Amino acid sequence: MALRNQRIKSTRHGTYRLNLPAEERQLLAHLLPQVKELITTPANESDDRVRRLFPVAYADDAAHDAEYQHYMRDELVTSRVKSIDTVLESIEARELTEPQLMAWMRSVNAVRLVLGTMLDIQEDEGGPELLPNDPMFSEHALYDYLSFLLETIIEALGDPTG
Amino acid sequence: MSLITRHNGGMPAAPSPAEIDQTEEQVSGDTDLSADRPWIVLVWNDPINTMSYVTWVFQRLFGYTKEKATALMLDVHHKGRAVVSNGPREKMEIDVFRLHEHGLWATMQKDE
Repeated sequence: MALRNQRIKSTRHGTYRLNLPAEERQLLAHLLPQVKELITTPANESDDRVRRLFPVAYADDAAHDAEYQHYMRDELVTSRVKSIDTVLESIEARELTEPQLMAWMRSVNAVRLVLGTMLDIQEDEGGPELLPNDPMFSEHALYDYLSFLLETIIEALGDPTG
Repeated sequence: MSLITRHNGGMPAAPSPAEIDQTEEQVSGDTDLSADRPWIVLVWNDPINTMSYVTWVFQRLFGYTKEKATALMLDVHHKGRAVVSNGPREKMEIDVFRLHEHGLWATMQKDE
């Protein structure tokens, strides 16, 4: 807890002090453009990772869903790209506004969704520990790091209705 | 859901989707139900979004108290889905969009 709170901490001015090591910032600066490319390349629309970020809206009505997607899909791409750009623009910042930190939150979670889909993450990861020689060991470690970072952000943002 | 989520066994029992529907139906109870049944937004369980994140999003998007948001999140987690919002179709499309923006697996349908 103490460790987390030192990394992202709300200030008295309603902003958030961001105390992330340079290598973690570089990691996000490396990952987020990849997500951006993934979701802005039309040929990727049927990719499982992209479908996870753009779910159906009308599960039991294909005609309504086609209509919905016609109007809203581009909006959702724009929204995700805008969040990612907000993170990239503030990647070296020491202090973030709340809208900026929320863009960080959504973007970190978007990477988790892409990575979790790739890794086929299942409910309650209670299985045997991954061994360091597992071919996906580093991806799992990255997923765990992003989960930790997301939790840190949520803790810093605090109770929205509290 | 992941290493970092907290399983809190001491939470109050979550309302079932049926109970939620009943409460909220009173809002539009005197309209023509067959022609203008309210629409509902469902959030489905997924193994990637963490419990704390889902709870936070429910609070932030819908203004729910921590207790209500947690109860809905636990419903999603244990029953596989929960009704998180209801109302006219256009408004529910916006709710679905906002949930999708946050990476939650949300769908909408007519209330039954």
